Amino acid sequence: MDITLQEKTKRKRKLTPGEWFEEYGSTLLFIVPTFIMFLLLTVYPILWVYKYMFYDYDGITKATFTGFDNLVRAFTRDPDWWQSVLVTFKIAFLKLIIEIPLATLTAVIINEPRIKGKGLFRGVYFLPTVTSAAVMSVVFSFIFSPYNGILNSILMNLGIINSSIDFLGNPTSALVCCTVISVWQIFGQNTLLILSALQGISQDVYESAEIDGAGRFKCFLHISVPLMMPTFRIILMLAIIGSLGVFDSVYVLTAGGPQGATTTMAVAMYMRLFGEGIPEYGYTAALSAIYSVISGLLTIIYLTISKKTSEIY
Amino acid sequence: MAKIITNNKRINIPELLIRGVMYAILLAIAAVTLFPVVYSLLGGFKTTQELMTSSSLIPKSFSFENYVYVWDRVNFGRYTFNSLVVTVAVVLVQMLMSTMTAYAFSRRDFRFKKIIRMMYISVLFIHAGTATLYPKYQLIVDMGINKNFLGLIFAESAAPITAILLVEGYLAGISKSFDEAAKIDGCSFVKTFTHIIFPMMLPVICVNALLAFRSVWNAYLMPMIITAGNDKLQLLSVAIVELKSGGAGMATNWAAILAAVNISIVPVVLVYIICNKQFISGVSAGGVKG
Repeated sequence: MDITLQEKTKRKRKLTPGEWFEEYGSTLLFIVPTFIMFLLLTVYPILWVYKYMFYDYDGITKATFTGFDNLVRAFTRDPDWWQSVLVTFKIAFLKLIIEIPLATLTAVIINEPRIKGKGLFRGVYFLPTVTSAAVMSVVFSFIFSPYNGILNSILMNLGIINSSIDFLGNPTSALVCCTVISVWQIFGQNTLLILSALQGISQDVYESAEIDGAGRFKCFLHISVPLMMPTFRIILMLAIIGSLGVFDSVYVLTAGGPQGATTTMAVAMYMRLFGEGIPEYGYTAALSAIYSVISGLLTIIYLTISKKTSEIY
Repeated sequence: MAKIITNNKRINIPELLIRGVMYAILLAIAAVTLFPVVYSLLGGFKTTQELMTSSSLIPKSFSFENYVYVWDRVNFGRYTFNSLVVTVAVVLVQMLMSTMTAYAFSRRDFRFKKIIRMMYISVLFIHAGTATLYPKYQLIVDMGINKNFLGLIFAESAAPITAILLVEGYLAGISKSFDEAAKIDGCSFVKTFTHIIFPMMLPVICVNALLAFRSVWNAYLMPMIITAGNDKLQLLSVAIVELKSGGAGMATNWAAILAAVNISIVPVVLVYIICNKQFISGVSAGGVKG
């Protein structure tokens, strides 16, 4: 009682600058710089997009408010944009159906108690994620090259093909090439996450199942899979959202070609902002907002289905 | 017990087979994973002609000609320096931001704390798309820092939300009695942070610094936009892509381009090999939570 009274009188007394700094100023010093950077580099660009989606703006003449014109144009007169939405989903889908099984397979094998060199395999699979997507795509463009590209010479030496294939010149194979790079780069991260989920499962559960006569496969299906589910859902969600924003590898490898076959949403927007021709900032902001809603909706749908919101914070 | 042992003996051969298949799968995937990196590392020593005609992965002789060429003639010494300056600066700035914010969040109560924290977390779920590049770029131009390092450093120094949350989680495990003891001994809030708590946070700071290093060193899009038409300021990643798509006559010098690629990937791969554990723990912790 006495202490709280003392505290109160202490608070009411006017603070010296030193005391004020110790009490309040230091908190400000610790919080404000980051918060300013947050406002400038994170909040402001988001607000900019949601404002200028309603404007006609080319960066030179004054922006004019046009209401929903940009959105109407995007939804009714812009097949190119919806083509890029489709391309993005194709890449995302292809990537997921290769990447998730691959990551699960490698994680499950590495987790086997009888396998040696766990750390080494995990380390190798994770290695691509520390390299630059843009820089490694330069290497991949040599590998895929029709003229003396190493992939073509390997396939020809093996007798699988007779003449070299222009992997990046054909719409379907270009799309596959872009996906391959994304999978190559990121599957190790998922291996790692699935592996740590597997290792979190207590060994006792397996032992008691084995005593009950469950085989290895049954153990995996009825113990590992259900117990991994929460982590698995989060990995899947992050993979979906991540795939939607693919830019670096696609831009470097194909620049969106051939004939827009690999133009993802991110590449399409970039071209309209910084490509040739008169930039349409207002219209691109509207496209960006559509992208934002698509990715937001996917997240919401995903979180509702999995009902595991609590797993993420 | 005896029954189980005989059982084990009987399945010995299929067991070996299964193990063999498992190793084969792991090795095959590892080979495909390593191939592009090894191809580039070894290709950097070849001549362009050898690169295009020889089917052998190993170069005939290990010559550093390509490295000398890109380092001196194509200015890669300069680009490496640029990448180093920007990466070190951004990592330092982000480490300061994440530790200070997390420390205030964890040890102080203040108005708007909940709101600010919620704003930080909610932007992890908002993706406003590529159009946000333009206001960022315009902001940097308006600030007049697009022609020097400040612009690049500023562009990459967004508030490190995931790092903040990781540090906050770590601080929750450091007892507040350390702070109280320091206060009784006459340490100020700032001094407690710099002298008592900061050293205790080093493990988590290392993890965050590595992840930040990786993302800044490899950054491509924003640096490309800022340094467009400004050759002197270019970072490694941007310069390499430009080398591939660009300069007359240079486009065909594949071996030189691979040497340039290696200048960019070798440092980050080396850091990864040395700090493998920290990288992996960072991704396991941060990956699932953000």
